Amino acid sequence: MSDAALPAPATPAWTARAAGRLAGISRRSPTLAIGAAIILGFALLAVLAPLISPESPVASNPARVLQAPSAANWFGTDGNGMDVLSRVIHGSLYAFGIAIPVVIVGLLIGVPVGLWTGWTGGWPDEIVMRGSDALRVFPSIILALAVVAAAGPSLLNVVLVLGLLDAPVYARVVRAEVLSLRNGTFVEAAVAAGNPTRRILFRHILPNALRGATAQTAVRAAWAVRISATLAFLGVGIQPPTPEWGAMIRQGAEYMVTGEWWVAVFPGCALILLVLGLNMLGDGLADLLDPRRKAATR
Amino acid sequence: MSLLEVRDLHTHFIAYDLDNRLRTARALNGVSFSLEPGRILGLVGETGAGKSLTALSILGLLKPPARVVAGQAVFEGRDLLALPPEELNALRGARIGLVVQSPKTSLDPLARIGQQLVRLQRAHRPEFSAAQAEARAAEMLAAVGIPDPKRRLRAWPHELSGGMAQRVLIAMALVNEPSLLIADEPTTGLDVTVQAQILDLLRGLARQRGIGAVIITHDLGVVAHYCDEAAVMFAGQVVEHGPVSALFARPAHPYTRALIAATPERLQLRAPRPSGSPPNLYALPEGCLYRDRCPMAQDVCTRPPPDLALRDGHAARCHLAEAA
Amino acid sequence: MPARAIGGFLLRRAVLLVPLLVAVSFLCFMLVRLGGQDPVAMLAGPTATAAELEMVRRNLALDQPVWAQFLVWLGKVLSGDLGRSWISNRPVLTELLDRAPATLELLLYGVGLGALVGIPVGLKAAQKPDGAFDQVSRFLSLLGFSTPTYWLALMALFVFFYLLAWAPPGMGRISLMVDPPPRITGSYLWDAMLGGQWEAARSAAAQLVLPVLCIAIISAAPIVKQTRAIALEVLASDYIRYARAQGLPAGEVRRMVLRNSMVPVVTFVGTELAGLVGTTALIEYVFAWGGIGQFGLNAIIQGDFAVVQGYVLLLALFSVLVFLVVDVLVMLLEPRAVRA
Repeated sequence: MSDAALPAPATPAWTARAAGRLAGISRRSPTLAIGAAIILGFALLAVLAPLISPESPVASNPARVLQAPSAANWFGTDGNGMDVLSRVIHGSLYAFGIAIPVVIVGLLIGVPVGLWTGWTGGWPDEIVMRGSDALRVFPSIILALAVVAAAGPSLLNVVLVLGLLDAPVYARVVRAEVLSLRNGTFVEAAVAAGNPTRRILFRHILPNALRGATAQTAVRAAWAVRISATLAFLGVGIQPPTPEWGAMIRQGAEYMVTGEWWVAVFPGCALILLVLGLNMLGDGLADLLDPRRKAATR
Repeated sequence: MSLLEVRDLHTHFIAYDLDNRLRTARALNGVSFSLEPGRILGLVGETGAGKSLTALSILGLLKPPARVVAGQAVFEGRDLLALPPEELNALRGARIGLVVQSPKTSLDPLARIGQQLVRLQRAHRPEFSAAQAEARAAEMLAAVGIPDPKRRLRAWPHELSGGMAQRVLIAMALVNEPSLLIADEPTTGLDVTVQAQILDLLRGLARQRGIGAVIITHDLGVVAHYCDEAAVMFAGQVVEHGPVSALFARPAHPYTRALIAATPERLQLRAPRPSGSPPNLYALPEGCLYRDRCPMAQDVCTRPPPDLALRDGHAARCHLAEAA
Repeated sequence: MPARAIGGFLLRRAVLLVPLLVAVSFLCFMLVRLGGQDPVAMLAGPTATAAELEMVRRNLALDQPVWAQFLVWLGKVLSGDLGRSWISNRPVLTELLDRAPATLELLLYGVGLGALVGIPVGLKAAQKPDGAFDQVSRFLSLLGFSTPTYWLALMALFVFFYLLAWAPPGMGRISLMVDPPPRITGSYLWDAMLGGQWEAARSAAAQLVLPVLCIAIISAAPIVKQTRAIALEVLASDYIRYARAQGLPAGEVRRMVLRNSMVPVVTFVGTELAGLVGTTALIEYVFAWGGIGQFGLNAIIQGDFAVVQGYVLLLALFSVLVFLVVDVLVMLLEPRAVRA
């Protein structure tokens, strides 16, 4: 119903149209708009980190160990006398630096596997699905931890393992989409018109299937940020004094029961905020892409 | 006095689109019809004409963004659209029975048939004891032609066939002795033989109990065989209404003629069939809504057509009706 | 429901689970063979003597093909031999089973409390989608979703132990000043109450409060979200629409929504219970709980891979068991499942 034409007003400038579309999406899904704004904010922090952070994130200074937040150090200093604010800002680099490759690895593995198993069916489908069923029986945090530890806790392994564990999620979404499209009229028509399989898969099915995976990517990125921080908190993978939020919380943990809260609290807040933004974006996208949910006037 | 009189009912869908513009889909644009006690009215039209929406509007069952913006629906002397929600709720299922088109999914999957019938009676007649209500439930199942009703009271909805479930729904609609029955596409999805049985049953029960009924359908054959009156809907308006005999003998609106020509029994190769899509509800044309598809459209059709009264209580919303 | 029907149902389910169990144990088996490192060194640990290394090597049957190694390993697992921890030099199975009750206690109370709060909140939120209550509860649920478990635990300690001094320090399951009760169930709280040691019971309960609250908060977030989604789906169903069209009173409709939401909600809480084992492990880690989770995490951190293998396998078995119990519950609640 939404694509019907209104009596066209004088063609507005593209800025006005873009503003209208932004306002429309924000009205339909404030969750999505806030989530996107939070992510954008952190992306800016990550890109501008060297410019805007007041100090180097790893400049230790024994003269000002564990100082409370002040005008000089807004977020205080940690046990090495490093500036917590600078470290929190640089932490966003690590969050994106892990989450983005994890999502890419997951998509690169999951999407082709989902396409293939959904299209051919038969025993490859059966094996892949049973395998991913078996994976789902393990709690994801513990599985990720155990596999990273077994594979050797390097940053590359963290990314590869998290991506690999993520792949079944995309594979399932894409496979379900392929299955429902495979028997659809427009694919039948494409087959009847003599299109080769590859063309049908990539021209017709893939774009539709990716739509289904889109909302998942935000939620999975949130998962990747959380798990990688958890790994660092436990000391598996990234080690202090790397300015990674999980590793910073690890450093601050012992001070929580002695009163120097700022070492762990600020990186935790940053972590929550970014994960929250990604989850809100994912929720909002899912709402927006769900055809059953129609807009309601408030 | 009419049992139900719907006057100039307007229902709109009002929502913001993705570009933040407030958009209004005018789904019902002045629906009017009336029903005498004990008569059966067929409300007929193509998908999207607003038949079911009319029923939902009258019963106060609209969900946002749909909203009744104008009109009246006078039932037994009271305007349903002006009633407080609790009073309307007390009428629904008691004075007004409803039969819907997906009987299998419309029954509570976690309650036995008997429980559902008892629950419905006691909701509207608290004075009934459980035993009384159960006895009446069994009677009702027998009345809708369900064999072994006592045992069937213990059945779960998933154990019923589609036709059986529709009989149960009819029993539920009638168990509180309503004076008005609304059946919304009561036979969609049922086997052809079962369809006829269900419609026969509906008509028989309505006649026998003196209930006024509105049967919503897209099938003119159903109207011709089972109804006393017909109201043809197009783009949220009743474009023609009257006794079935008169309406089928002398269809006055070009849309009705196209519909009749398109029914399988009368399908003629050269007949004008309803073709094209319904008008865009966001940007309805001025004047006659059927204008764009009408083979007889003239200049006069750019003005809103009157509801022209013809012979025998028959009327059509068309400038050219008398010429027809 | 006749007992025989339940028995038959369980039997069919158990047979269906065999391939899953084989796949799960194969994954655990492969765990020490993934990273391209020497499995013998991983299992024996850095402190192993030549004789110990040789014994581990013989146990693994490394001279045979992988599938034969798997069968050898599976045979040992089925006979209860999960290997030895190189840190404690005790059998893995004994170590794990000793600690299981402490974790189970934490998990059940936490998720139980989370469900007790989360389900009603989700149901209430669904009654008026986009209303004030819904907005607030959705935001809180998203917040809970996004909060790292261990950080929440640290915050709880900071506020309730350091600032307010309401809670005991996060150092285990009972105060160091109190003798733990003799072991009956493995839960200090119940054992102390059974033995009439009220001081020990009080201390055990006090130690439970913060970790249980943390798990409840973390587990309530997805329960609220899912319950709301389930209830909304039920509210949009044909039978609820029809119930409204029949003028059933609001209370009656609400009861219908509740009953029809219960089956999917129970299923979800079951999967949650299995998934939250990971969350519980992190809580245990921060509160030094000494349960199976803290033990498993420490094994992962220190590279005690015989324990890691056994821990991961045990968690998987626990999940499978929970799913089985959920299946039975669903069967009892759901008339349609009877014939299936």
